[in-house]
Amino acid sequence: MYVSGEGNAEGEKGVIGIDFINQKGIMMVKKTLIYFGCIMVIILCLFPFVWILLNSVKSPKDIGASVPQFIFNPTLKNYKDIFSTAGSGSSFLHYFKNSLIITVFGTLLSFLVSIPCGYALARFKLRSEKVKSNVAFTLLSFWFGPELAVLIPLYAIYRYFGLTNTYIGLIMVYQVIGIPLGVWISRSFFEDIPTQLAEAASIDGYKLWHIFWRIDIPLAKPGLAAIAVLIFVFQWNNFVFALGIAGEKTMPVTLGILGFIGYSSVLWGQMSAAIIISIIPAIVLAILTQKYLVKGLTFGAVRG
Amino acid sequence: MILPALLIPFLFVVIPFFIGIAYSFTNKNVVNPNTVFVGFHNYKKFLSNPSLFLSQLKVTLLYAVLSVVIEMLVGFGVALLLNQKIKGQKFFRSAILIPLMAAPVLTALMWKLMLNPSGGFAVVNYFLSAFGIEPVLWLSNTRLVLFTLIGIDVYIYTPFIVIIILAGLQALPREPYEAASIDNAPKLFVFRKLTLPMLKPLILLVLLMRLIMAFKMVDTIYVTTKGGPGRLTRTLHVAAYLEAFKQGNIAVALTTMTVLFAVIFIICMSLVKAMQKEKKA
Repeated sequence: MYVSGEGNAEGEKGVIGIDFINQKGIMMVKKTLIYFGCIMVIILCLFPFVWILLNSVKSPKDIGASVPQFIFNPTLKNYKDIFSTAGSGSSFLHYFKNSLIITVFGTLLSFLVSIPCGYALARFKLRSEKVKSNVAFTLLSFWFGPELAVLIPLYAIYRYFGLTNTYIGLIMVYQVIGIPLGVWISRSFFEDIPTQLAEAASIDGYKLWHIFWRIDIPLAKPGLAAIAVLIFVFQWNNFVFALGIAGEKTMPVTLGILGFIGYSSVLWGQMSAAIIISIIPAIVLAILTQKYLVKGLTFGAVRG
Repeated sequence: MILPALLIPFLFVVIPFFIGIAYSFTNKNVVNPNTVFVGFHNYKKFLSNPSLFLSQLKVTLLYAVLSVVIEMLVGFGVALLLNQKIKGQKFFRSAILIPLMAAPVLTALMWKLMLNPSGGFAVVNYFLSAFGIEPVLWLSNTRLVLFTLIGIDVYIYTPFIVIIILAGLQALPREPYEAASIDNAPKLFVFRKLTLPMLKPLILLVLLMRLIMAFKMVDTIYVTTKGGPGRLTRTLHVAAYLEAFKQGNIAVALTTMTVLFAVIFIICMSLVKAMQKEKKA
């Protein structure tokens, strides 16, 4: 009895040991597979960008080869060309400047208009809550309407008022991207700020404007910076609005870059360089505000 | 404080929108200066012409539904993958943002270059040739072209679903999972009975947003094929652009847009209804 009992106990220990090793093995295989999967996803995500980056530093001879070249002498000539004021790539600088003008002023205006609105929707007691959510949803629906339904008639209106091909005309249309985004996200930020401070200040006799400016704005600062960046990114990346109403004089990069295809021979190298330069601002800013991105993409519906 | 935020969109969206609907009942175009009221003429003509309405609606639906379905499935998979406890998760998450945050029109342009049939840029066909596959005409093969565009859309917008679902996964409460692991519940069962139901509101939200975006997608299609070859990739939105700005048929373009608006509206409303039902249940 005693002997066999000990044997049993040892046997069990052995089984547990094997089980343990097996599980560790399975875990290792699983971990490896997960990493492999993640790395594959990342390679797929980044490859197009790496390929365009490589091509942007190729000479015309390497780019025009009959098969893709992976080993070549890098050159910065394409970048020099698109930043020079003469020659085939000179228009890029003009488009880039247009993008900057439209997006910087567009962001500024959206920001100034939407933050007070978001604040009011989060804090003020209106006669009925329904009005507030109607206001918010009306704004949201502007973002999701099909753009050309508005752009085609707007084009006719702009022609009447002489606003076609002007910066101000474009900046005003770009508000349709900026304002709903700004209102929705700032509303959810202000809702997260505790109201006790504001209530205390209002008992002390501070005016509404002071409470907004001195208490709630400083508390919401990091979130507000993220909103500005998100508005900038979405306006920078927009294409349809520009396609509808921008002319050669005011064309942003997203539209202007297509001009590189128009020539008798496509300027592959300059086009690659122009693509790389044009996506850098949005990507850098987006990575900086990653923390708030989920909130931004879902209009504040999901806290990231 | 609310007023300015409503005033600007009102002037630049609401008024043009209704003027646009009004135009769709006229014969307005660029060459003809005398615009007259024609009633439902444009709608009758548009809806009764199968090569216009039906083919464009079919392309629009195929593009939107197929891209969104693939994006949801792949996006969910990648989100689950990135949700594992792994080193460098932050790096993986930043990297996956890049296709989403670059302007869609530029990303599509990059793919157009890489999908060249041959030459120094045609890296996709070059890799395929390593497996002995003949050069593929991605953007001119009539059977393939719509699926190529859907592929580009999937490339751009899958990260959208990944980062939102990932945020949802990480916000899930722990207790139910602990209970399930004590009960030794199988993983698939836990996923179906716990994870999916808890994420359902989020999934419906992302689905709704993505569907609307896909229905009105212009960027990727315009830059790669401009609706061609023939009418194979001409969605309602792209068709309206070509009608208005290439042909000058403003009234016809606005008829198309009103129809697209109605299609989006009907589909969204049914999804929102489903969401509200979900909330009540």
